Amino acid sequence: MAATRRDGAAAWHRRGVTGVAAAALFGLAVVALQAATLPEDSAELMFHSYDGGGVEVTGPAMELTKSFARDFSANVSYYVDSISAASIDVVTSASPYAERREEIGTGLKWLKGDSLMSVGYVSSDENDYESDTYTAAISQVFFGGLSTLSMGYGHGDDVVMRVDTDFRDRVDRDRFRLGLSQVLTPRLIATLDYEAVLEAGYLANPYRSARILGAQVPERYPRARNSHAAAIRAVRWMGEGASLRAGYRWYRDTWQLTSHTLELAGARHVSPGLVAELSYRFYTQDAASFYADDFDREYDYMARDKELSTFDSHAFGGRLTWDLSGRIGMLSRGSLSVGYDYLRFDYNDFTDIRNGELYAFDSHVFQVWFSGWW
Amino acid sequence: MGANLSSPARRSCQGSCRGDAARILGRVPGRAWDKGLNLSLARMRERGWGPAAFRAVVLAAALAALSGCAAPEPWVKPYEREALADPVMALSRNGMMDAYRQHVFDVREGSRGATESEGGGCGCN
Repeated sequence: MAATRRDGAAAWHRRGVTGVAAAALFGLAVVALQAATLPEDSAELMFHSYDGGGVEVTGPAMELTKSFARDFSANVSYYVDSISAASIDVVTSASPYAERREEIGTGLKWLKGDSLMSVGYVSSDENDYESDTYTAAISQVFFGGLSTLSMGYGHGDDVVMRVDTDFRDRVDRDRFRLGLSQVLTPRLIATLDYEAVLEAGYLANPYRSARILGAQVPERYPRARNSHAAAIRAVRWMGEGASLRAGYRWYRDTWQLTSHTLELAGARHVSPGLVAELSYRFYTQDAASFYADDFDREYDYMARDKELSTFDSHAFGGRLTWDLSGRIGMLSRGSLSVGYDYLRFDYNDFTDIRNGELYAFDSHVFQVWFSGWW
Repeated sequence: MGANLSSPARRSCQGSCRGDAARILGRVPGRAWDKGLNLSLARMRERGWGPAAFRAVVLAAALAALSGCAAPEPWVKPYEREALADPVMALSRNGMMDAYRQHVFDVREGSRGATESEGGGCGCN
């Protein structure tokens, strides 16, 4: 571990981004049209890989789900990120490094009539960032099964540290989510989602620097950030075993960061037991009010985090899923999925200080997933 | 002129409107009648509208309001949900893979929240 590193794992787990299990727990719990059923007993395994911008992240993930007492279901999950980082921030100001992040989650669901209630807990641990997340959610199906109203709450307690000093600070986070899923026609489903996130504490990265007339100085962030995000999505049956999905998300926060996300995806049964999916995602954001590539003087708040700059990104993805019918050992059936995504990021006001040009990079995301049911 | 909705009499109706409805139907001339409603009734009487006609108008209005508030029937019948039940109609077909994919975006972007989540499906349950 390089003691002088910058943009460490805190960047991979940055600014209160909940971990994979926490996000899954919160997301799964909050909006599920099939809310009035418990998940099937299953074991899931996944290998994931991210490579882009000088950062490589690989690792396994697994989850076990088991129902009991007829109306309850419990799950445990384990997730690992093995990180090797030589990102633009690292190579321009510190030494490359490698480290590991582990995430353990557990959850409980209770089905009561047309209501599904769930609680969850996720702990994430790395050598300079610790996070505990608690979630609770309820979904209610009504209107003859055509509507699902969901709401959820999550609370996070994070500790931010530096590996080379005794720096230590806290982040408190509250997430509120409301969702409505509605069957509109025999071929069309739409969802509306709203989420507010309230954060307080140390929201910067203790390793990263801002620039004033080219000189590096520590970043200074406000100690509070409240955000609003709203999304509308729809999926439509196109006939012949095919569907088309579309979605739009609007985002705004008290740091004056605004973003728009467009999603398009299609899925189709290409042969018995095989589903192919293609997706495209466009994302654009305007910079936070206190972001600058190079400040002309000292300000109360200063950031040079490229994730707070003005940029666009495109993501193209594909996924194949095989249903493995018939018994596989002790499993009654299984499913195998392989996915790949190509991501492109183009920054409008973040320069590569090695050559003075606007920064851009490509990423490749690869996933292999297997699930067995018994 | 209609009844003043902010009058004490109207506010006190929030618990039970039976008494208020009786007053409106003309059975209870009670002290809670406000000035505006009295004036309206006086004008109606001047035009030859008796209490019975007034009650009929109010009853018709109430029925119209009730019919407008009737809960609509689910318009997609269970036997019409075959396509909705197909796995390709799920907004997220694989929670673990989608959660990881979303994590990649969350880490690289300044936004968070209201992300794609589990959903879709047939609403058959």
